[in-house]
Amino acid sequence: MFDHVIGAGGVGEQTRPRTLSGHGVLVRAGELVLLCELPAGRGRQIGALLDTVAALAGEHPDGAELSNRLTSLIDATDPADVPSFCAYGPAGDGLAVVVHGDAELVLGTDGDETRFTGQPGVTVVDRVEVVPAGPVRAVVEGARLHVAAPPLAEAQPAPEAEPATPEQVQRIVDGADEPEQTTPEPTVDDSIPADNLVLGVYCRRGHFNDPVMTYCTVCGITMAQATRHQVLGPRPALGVLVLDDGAMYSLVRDHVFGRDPGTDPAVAAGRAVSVPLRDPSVSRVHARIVLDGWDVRIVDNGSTNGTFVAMPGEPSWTRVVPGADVTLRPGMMVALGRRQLRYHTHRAQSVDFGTLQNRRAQGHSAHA
Amino acid sequence: MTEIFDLTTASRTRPVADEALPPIGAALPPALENADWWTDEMVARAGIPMLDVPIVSVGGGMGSFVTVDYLRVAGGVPVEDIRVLSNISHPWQTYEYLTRVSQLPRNRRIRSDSASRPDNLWGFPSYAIQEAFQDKTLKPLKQVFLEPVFDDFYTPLLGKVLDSMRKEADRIRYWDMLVQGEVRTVRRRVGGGYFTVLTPHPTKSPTQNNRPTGQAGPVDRPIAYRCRDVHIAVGYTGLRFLPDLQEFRERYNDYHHVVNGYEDHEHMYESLRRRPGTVLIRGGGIVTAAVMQRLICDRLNFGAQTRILQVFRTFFGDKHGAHPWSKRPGSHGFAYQGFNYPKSAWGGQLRARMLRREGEDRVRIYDEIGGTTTPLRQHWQHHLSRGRKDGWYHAYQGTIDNLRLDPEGKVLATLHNDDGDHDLNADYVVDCTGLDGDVAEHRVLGDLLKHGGARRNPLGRLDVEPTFELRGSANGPGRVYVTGAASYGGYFPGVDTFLGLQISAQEVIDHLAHRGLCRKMGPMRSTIEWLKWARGRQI
Repeated sequence: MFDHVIGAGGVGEQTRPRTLSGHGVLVRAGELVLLCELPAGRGRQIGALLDTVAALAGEHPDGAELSNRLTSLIDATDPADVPSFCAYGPAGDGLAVVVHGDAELVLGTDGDETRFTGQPGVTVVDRVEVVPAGPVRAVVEGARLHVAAPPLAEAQPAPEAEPATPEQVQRIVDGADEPEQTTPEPTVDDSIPADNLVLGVYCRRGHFNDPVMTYCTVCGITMAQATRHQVLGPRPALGVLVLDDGAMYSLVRDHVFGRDPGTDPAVAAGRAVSVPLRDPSVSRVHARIVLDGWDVRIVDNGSTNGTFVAMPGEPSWTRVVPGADVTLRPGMMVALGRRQLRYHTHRAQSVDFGTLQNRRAQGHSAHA
Repeated sequence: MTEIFDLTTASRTRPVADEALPPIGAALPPALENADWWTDEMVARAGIPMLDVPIVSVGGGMGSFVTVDYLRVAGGVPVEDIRVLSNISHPWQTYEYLTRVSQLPRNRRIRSDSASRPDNLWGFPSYAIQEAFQDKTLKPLKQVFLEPVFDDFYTPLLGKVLDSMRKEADRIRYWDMLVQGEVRTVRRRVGGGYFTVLTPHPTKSPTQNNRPTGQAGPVDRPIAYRCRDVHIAVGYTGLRFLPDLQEFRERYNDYHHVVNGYEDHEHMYESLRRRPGTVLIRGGGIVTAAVMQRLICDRLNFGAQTRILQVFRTFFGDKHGAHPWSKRPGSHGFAYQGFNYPKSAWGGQLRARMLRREGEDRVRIYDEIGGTTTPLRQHWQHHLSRGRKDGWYHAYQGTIDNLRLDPEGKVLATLHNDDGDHDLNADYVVDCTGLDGDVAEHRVLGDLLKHGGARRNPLGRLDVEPTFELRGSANGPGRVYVTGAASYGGYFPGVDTFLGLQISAQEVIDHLAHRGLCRKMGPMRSTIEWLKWARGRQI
């Protein structure tokens, strides 16, 4: 599925990588950038790459050190198992670069281009002078996309491109069959997996899971014997929302409910699924379902008639304070005006699940 | 589309997640990891604190509970001499989860005999008597009297079973013996006995006396329990997710169209109550029956218009069996049997035959009595018959594979049988194909095979003596006993049932008593202990 990745970005603190199209992960932590393909079954290796960047950004954000650590990572395992990637970061007054596998990095250097490829082996350059800083174009397993990819200077800024924070990780997953574009589709296809990075654990057979799982959600093996070492990985679907008419929505990304949810910026930007509810008791943009780590939260958007939650068997509904959020528990019912929906998840594997979710929620609030 | 993940958030959430479920810890030092035998010095050198306990039970589920109950009641072993090492908080936690998600909530009846009581060594009073007494009705007693010819087998309510277990756990002070954590390995000790290494869950150890002397605060590093005997009852390695289901999930990132009967799939019933749909069920066992009963109840209670397609790999149209004198009833695809095993497996001729068989001969008997069965229960059979007539229930023989989503979001599956291949279309597919018992996949059991001298029996599980002592693992005065699913294939069938766990525990206690390590319970003490049980007196 994940066969193409393309990203592009500039060098320097004031510029940020921008996505074009394709499947993959783009990470930016400070000035360290890594672009990685997303082949199936390589979640553990991807997690290790991302962890390396994340760890280095927090202690010593140097491009040369990034190259060292990433090449060590490749040396420590079978290079064929490591997904194709390219990475770069500042080294002195230039850039250090590492490119592995079917990947290519193109540095714009004062009107010219310097090209690095990861074939046949790993390309590591400790320092390339890029003065003045020019555009960087990176392609992983995407010759077709590379040809069509506009240079960075011509790329339109993405609508969600807020000013870059000092440290951020940014990832992109777009459909491989979608045309190259920088403006997202206004609506989102449910079949496209949204895989934000979350901390999770791998089962013995290499499937990425919520850390609270008793059994692996992909292969069923007990998680009791997993190492419980938590790494960043692609978030799978968290469950489903079942509407009172039987319609079902897979929780692969945020959802916006209302009479006219298309007007919501998140829907317009393609970050959320629009769920129109044709009922006068429902506000235009009534409420949002937000995926936060492994949690599913409901946020009331200041609706006229309010948003309420209740667990089955509870005698009364509890109103969600406008602007605040409530973490949904498996089986929880949500009332939006006269309409209702219910949250279910295959991850409700343990009778302690609710307790663990609550503990996690409390911990999250305490740290927020 | 671009999504942002902030590293600063990630660094905040990591310790929270760690708190929710602790890491099992780094690997053991190579000197320990690679050694079949450990000395006290090796463990001390690794910085792992040691605790001396005569007996530990690894698992903490139903198997541990039943065995510890026998140790305390029949064996008279004090609380201080037993530790239960478990990653779950109460013995019925896994059992309750599996029954709940497979459509057996607390108010439903499980597939177990009236006298198979995990909380009661004597099986008296049976669940039927208890229910008759508590609910002031003669109906359960009448059913037991008439079963199985004139009525269905009596089976107890799940809620009553679990409540009585909680009561017995309190009575035998189970919670004082429980240490929560992840058991990593059981290794033989030079000089006799074993080391059982556990990484405790922080803040979860219910008693201070589980901690090594002088250690304060939550325990979060490995502890080696230096013990004479080890009992292991870790249950199944996991849920059996068929390759098709796994492939579907990985391919589509979709966990709700194709589900396993042993995972939460409430969304399916919720949706089907509100709009018509089709469910394809794979399997013919007790979980299949429970799922179908739920679908039928939703049809009756909520007017759900659900079409059910059922695929049997082996389709039984009539009585079947290896011999004319041992036929199992069957019809419409199902094989009917009151309980998981024939009654003769518990103490009759089948048990006696099994004791004398080795290798392939034993496998042959397991083949004869094995297979997927379900109890013949009149009420849902009646509705299935109605479903066949009205066209909302269809049964097929064959196998299905190649699960995929069609453009309308429905699941397509290819059915293979004698009539060729053709596609079935459904809104949901439910796999009811059981649990996974591969011992090599389990950390502790696999480690015993690798380092502990254990070997496999003819059915691939752990090879145990009739006393449930693990063959090849004896060490001086120490023994390892394995009961439950991991010992399936031994001289006693039915190990993964309530009664099977009790019979296994009896064998273990008898062997311990024979070795002079616990008391043997005679008629007088048995009567006294029963009176204590009946009065709920804590021991």
